[in-house]
Amino acid sequence: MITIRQAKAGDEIAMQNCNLTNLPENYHMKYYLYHLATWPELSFVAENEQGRLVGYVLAKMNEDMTTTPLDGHVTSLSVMRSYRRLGIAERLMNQAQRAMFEVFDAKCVSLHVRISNIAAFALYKKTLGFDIDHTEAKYYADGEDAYSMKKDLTSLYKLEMDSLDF
Amino acid sequence: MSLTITELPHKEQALFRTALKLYEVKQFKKGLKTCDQILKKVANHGETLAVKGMFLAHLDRKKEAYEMIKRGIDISPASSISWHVYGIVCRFDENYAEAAKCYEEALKADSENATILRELAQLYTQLRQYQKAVEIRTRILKINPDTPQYWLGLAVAHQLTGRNDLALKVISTHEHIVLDESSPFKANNSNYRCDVSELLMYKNWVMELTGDYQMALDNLKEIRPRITDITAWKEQKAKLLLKLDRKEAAASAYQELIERNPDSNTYICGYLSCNGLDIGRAEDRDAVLEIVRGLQQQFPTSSALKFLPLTFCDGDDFVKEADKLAKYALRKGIPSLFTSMKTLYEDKTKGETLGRLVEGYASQLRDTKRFDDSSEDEPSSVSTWCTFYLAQHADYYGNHERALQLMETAIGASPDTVDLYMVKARILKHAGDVCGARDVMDFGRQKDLNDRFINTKTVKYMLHNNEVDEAEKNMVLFVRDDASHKIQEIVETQTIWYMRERGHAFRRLGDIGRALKHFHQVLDSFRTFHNDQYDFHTYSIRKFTARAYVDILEWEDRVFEHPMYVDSAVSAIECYVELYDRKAAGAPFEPIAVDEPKKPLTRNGTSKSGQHNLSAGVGETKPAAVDADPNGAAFVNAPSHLESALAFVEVLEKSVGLQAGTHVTAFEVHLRMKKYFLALKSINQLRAIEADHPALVPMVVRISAALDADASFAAPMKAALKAQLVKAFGEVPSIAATVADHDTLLPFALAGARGLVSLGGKERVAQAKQMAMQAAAERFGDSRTLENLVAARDLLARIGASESERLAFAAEARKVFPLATCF
Repeated sequence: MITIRQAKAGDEIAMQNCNLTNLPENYHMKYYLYHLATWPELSFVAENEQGRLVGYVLAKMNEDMTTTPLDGHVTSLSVMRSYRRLGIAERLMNQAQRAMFEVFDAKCVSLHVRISNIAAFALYKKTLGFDIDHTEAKYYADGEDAYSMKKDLTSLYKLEMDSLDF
Repeated sequence: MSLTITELPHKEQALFRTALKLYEVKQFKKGLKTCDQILKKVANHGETLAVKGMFLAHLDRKKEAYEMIKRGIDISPASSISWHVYGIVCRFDENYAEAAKCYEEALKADSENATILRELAQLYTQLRQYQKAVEIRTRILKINPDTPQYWLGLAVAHQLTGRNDLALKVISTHEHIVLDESSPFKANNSNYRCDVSELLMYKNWVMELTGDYQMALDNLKEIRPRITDITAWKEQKAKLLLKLDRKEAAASAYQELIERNPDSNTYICGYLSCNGLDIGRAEDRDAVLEIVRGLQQQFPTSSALKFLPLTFCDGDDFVKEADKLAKYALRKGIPSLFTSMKTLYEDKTKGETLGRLVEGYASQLRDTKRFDDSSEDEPSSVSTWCTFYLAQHADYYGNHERALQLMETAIGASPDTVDLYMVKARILKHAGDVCGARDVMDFGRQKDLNDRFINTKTVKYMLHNNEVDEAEKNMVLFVRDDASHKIQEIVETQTIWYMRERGHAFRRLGDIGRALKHFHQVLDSFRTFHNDQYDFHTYSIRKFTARAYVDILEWEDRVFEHPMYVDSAVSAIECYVELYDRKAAGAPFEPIAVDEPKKPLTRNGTSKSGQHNLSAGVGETKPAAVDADPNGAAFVNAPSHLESALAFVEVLEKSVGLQAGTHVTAFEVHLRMKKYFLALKSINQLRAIEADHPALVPMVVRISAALDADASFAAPMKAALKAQLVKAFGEVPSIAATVADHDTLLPFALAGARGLVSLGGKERVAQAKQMAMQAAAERFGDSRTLENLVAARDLLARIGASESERLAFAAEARKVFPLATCF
């Protein structure tokens, strides 16, 4: 009913539109391009049968860290409301997480969520398996605190060996 | 004075170098002062004047800036720095073509300056002059052969000119600098592993592009130990194996990919193509179905696999697969079930089968609370989702009343499910009840005030109902609280859907000024999108993400094809044409003034005279002072409306020249500008796309009439043009005859009527009115879409039909759309 694939440049306008439609935290086009040009393997989109983008995850590695390996980081995740119950968020996150682990050696992935955003928190905690790592006071520009949530990746994925016999 | 920098007195030399440093750290005011210090001592120093101009440009004193720079160049025309500065300022103003010329001049005096060369290479890439980019990058590499940025940049430039062989050669020659683990490159690079992986994958892709798939495949094996982008490696493996016709190995490779992402249609179709089977061939379908069913068992959670069989099965197999999927979706309560199935409805049999299937479920559930194969009672929600499906099914076939009845049932059973209101609103929209649609959507919105999605939909539906102020009030609810000016923030965040819908609303309200302003906001956003690529010419190469970079370039090449751009451009052109026509008729459009803040607004937020209050946003005390042109007067007062329109016509002709609509629109501008050859070109291109397009004959008649009326156009050219028209369309094409020949197709009547109105004259306008009045006649059958009938309504208003005539038409239209409120 939907197909999941890596995000390409041609998806950027649709991703921005999905983000502006669903969420109050929005970004310039250049920021989407910056993700694509720096970590092209990490962002994924969900498309319906008509080829329309109905969900996306925009992901990066956390360059603010001073230690390596870097953590993966979810900049933004959103699914159009009319496409619920298809497990799109999980499918997108699964692909992004594995890529963080394989491509960039990430041991865990983090994200921020407003402490008042009960629905998003439930998604991350119950469905996607994140836990609160700490609270960041006044993280958002309007002064609201954020939960910094984390998920361990090492128990989920293993380094794949490929047979070169082909 | 044409002193070079080194000929300046010692102190001034130092100041000059300081000025340049200040530019690099963006301290423009200080830099300006420093330049003035130099000029006090050495008046009219060419290079200092130029640099001063650069600072002025960044302080938004553009006019002075250019004057200053030009003075500087006049004094020191051979100065590399002066031309470089001029180039920088042009680049800053996004005038890339001019900038490139300046940089070339700068190079003449300083041919090995790496900075100038680098920036020029960037400019040529931006301008898509790839061959020149190759030349410049080759020069850079000669000066500095080791830096990866330079040889990778050259390789990519070669690829972009189609010389994959040369690209490969450049990489192979220099790659050791990166690949060699003892090299200094690794030591300073925390991202080393990934950079190596990206480089190797890029190289492998270039190998593939040369067509030597075996070489690429062998290389792929070699590089695996150093690859981090495992997915891309596996995809490349599957792709190359398939290209080498090694079907069994390819199938195995695709299998591995499906295991990693069972929701990828690409992987699944790749796997199927390895089996030598074609989904399109009827004989193959049983075999394909068997394979797909096998995959479904292996990957039971795959969403893509669930739907795939329905796309190629028919008969009993189709019913079986549809039954499986539908029951799964109805039990789970998946709101998008119908949206998915809708893609199948193009096949009439499939649409009807699905309808019957779900009707069957509905009655089974009514009678027994179970499906025929349920082991226990189904929850009542399943019945509601059935009803929901059937409502959308009815709506698809235009049975709006039945659809709404079904929605009432569903809503009655589940009054808090927001999806139900969204779809009910959409059905009302299809039925022409714009006001009712908006009310229902808003009702749904109130059920979940924290959800921006439903807020977005509500704002959209309010704008469809021309409620610009009410829509804005709701829109700002989700603009971030700390934005200094909420309306400006909407433009800043490039919310193009909103700007476009607002533009259309203002247009319907007759406010061409504001309409144009908003369409321009969309168009400006796209220009920004296009210019955004500039920094990536350097950035992506530095990061080694060449594959993603080429993808970005290819997208940017197509960015003006985006439907949002095309729609806004066409709408802007139509607005400019209307402004021109009104002015030419002696009744120019006047920009509508900004309202007094205290004026009471009507229910839908607009005062009767169409004046609108651009609020600063809910809860703000600041007035909307930021908006320099609230009513679009700048656009209305453009020196030449047609020139403004032409700019967009040219973009459309270049980007979407294969779309019929482009040429229909372009014609309107070319004809009014008396560019008859261009107008003829539009006609010919339209004819090549769609030989029987409704607008063609009216266009031919109009250009002929215009030629006849234009006494100043040279006779031989006139004759040549007319000869061409006769050759293609015969001696006397007639609008009335064409309309009569297509008397069951409303688009022909509409195009014909519009053509007659453009030609003018009492008789023709009366004829046009006749045509428009009959738009709802039975003979037009299904071509009486809501859109077409609304167009007829608008045409009657434009022609100046009387109140009784418009009411008569409205009554007829409502026979086709009984629930419509727009007639």
